[in-house]
Amino acid sequence: MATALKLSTHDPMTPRICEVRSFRRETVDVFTLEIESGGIDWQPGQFNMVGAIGSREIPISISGDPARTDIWTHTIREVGNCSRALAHLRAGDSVLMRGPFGVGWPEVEAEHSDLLVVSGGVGLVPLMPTLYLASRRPALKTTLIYGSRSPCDVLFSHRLAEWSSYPNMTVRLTVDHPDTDWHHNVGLVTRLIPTSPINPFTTIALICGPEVMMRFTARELLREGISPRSIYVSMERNMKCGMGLCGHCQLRGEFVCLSGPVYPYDRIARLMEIPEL
Amino acid sequence: MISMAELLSQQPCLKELDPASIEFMAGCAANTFFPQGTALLREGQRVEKVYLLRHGRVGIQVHVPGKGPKILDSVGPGELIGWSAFGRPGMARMDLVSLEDVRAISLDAECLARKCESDPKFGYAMLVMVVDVLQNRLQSTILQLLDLYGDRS
Repeated sequence: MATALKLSTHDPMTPRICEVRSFRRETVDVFTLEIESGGIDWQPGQFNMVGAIGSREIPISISGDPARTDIWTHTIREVGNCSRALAHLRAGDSVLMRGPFGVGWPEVEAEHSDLLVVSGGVGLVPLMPTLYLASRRPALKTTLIYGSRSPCDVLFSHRLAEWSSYPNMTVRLTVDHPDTDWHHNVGLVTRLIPTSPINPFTTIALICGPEVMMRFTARELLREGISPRSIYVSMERNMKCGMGLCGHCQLRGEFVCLSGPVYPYDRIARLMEIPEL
Repeated sequence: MISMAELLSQQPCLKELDPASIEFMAGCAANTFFPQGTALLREGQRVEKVYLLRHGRVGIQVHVPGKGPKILDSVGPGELIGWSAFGRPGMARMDLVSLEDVRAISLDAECLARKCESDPKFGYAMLVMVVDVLQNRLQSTILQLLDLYGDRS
């Protein structure tokens, strides 16, 4: 059985061999791996470089409950060779890990009594740790707006159903293509923003999803009066080294793996408007 | 008891209207209720009412031969439906069906049209409001066409 090699955490370029604790299928093309963490600290919104042995490594956000310090939970969509190789791993298998890397979501400060989370598709994954924390803060009014392609693509549906019963949490689901059993909303996430109870002065908004969705969502939030400083987005770029050395994820002056992936909107908005980037 | 003008002033899509315009509009308004599964409008029907939803959701659907009704969009509290009443020939382009019990303010389309013609300032405010609704709906539809979450190819 593989064991996390704590010694190698001193060198972020050296992968550690970690043991897969469990594999869970979430949807037809999304799965979750629980991997032993060796007790390494991490922040919601950070990512690890994860690779099956013999395969290239890819950046994967952490999707688990921060209260679980013994494991890293990674929810991954099968889109290429590397993620497909990871989808073949099962409990007891070994996996190569480097990280955690990057700047995560901000801590919700005392002046923010409302948390608005807007996500689309697998963009919900990096927001899950923050939602776990929010679910344990009864004084924090949390609204999650989550868009998916279809009902069978909705991630973590049991967890979302549980949270929707919490007095401090509102979960609003929407899909592009409903089936006959779908009883939630239809349409883009932006449509639900004007009718969500938002106090622009006390709300902090976190957005993650396809970049086009994030751009339009941020604009809608600005229209609602939320300050750009209270809006955060998680950028997706081609992360390789995770340390701002290789330049693969460079976004003009930003190395997304190092100064991101989470940015305050006022810092990144201008770059999101440039088509060439 | 809350007056119709007060009810109207609470609707997000009317927040730019001044109190005089709201009062003017209230003359065309009435409270209405649709149990779940009611067709508010059927494709091709003449649109006689515009609805401001207060509670519940309405599905915008089209009937696909061989596949039955397909919901393309849903609208909820605070949103306006039935804007085809303002266009020509004032016919519903798609079905509107209540997905749950719906409480709404109905606005008589003919009454509104008369008020718009008699008071151009009010008419212009209504135009801006409807264009706002339309551009949000259009933007959402265009982005849905991108299939942002979906590409499995």
